[in-house]
Amino acid sequence: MLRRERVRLALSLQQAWQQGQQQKYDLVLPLSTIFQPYMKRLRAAENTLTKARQHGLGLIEPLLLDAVKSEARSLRITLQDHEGCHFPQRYPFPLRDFYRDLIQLEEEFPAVRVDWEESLLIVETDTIILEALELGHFTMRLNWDWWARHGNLDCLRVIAEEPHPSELNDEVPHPHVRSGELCSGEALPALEKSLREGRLAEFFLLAWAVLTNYNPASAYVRLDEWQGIPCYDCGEVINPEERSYCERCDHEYCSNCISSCSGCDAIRCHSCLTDCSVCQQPCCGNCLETSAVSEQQLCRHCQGTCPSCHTTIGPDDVHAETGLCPDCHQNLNEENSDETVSTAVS
Amino acid sequence: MKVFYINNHGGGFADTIEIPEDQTVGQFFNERLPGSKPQDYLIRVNRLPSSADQVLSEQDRISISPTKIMGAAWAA
Repeated sequence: MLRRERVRLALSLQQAWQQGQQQKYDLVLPLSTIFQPYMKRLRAAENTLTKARQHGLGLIEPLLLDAVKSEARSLRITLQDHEGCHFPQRYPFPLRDFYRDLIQLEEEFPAVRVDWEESLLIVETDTIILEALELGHFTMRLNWDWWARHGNLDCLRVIAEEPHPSELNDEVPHPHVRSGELCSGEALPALEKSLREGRLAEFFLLAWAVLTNYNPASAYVRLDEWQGIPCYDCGEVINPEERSYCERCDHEYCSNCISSCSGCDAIRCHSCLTDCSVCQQPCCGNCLETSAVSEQQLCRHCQGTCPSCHTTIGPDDVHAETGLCPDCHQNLNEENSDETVSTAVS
Repeated sequence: MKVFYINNHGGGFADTIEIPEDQTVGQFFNERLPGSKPQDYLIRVNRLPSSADQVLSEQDRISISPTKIMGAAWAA
């Protein structure tokens, strides 16, 4: 950046900062407005006391005196409470400090440039590599008009210049950046303070520190999922909204490779479901039972019980006439034939 | 002697403070951020990188910014 441009930029930044400072002062209510109600109540208590004294009402005087003291105390406490926080501190920040901050930024970062039309101070970072994943280089863009008007962190946008966004969300080029917005986490108080005090070099260094660190506990997209998670069955990369989890085998699947049990609606992958031998509906292990007679796997709808021995049987196992399982039916037949024989003998 | 100290750790601190004469940057750091590792911070004196044995002078501007700071997925 040429010296002349740096001076012009420093001047613009200083003006924006001063405008923001002035707005802070303009927003502050006069102290008299805050204390007026307290003063009014104190005056009223004093008037009552004075009148009571004038009329010689000695008995009530201690009570009224206490009321005056109480109102005076409220006023004093309110004054003290507002003393520390009511008056925003004025930070002297001369033009040369903005100028020096720009020089420092040029020394700390690969490039610093300015977009006059958009009122942007643009600071370019080195390539950012987190956990061996190259995310490319970014630009941190401070909009000084926004800074002047609002003074908050929204004046900063972080743009990926060679984006390698997450497979799961192309608005996330960095675990802590989404749609150009830096989510600063524990850096937020210090970032806001440096912005408030016009210390731009520190502001960008802090933002840079956030970009060069990774907090897996609070990332838009975790780095171990950056390339997406493959479906355990077909291998297709799936985003979080389309991802389903099979509790039985503890794997994640795409929507094509996951289904649900027709009996209890439990979500299961295809491998963890078995078709009912009768109706061919997929069922989880809890909803299937093996027939005591055949090897058939039976869902709850297709399961029957032999009325005699109470074992589980399928519709094909039931004898059409007696409704019994084959063993019980055979036993019944044998009993019947024995009875016939004995009747014939007798 | 007086120096202007900017600590960007935590809530941030920036004010003029009194320090002993001939205090080095290393001593200053250990005094202000006991138990912290200097390699986890960017330490600048008058906006320039400094060595631990650099002696501080009256009116110096010392800034200490953490380099290991955790971002988040949402604004606090």
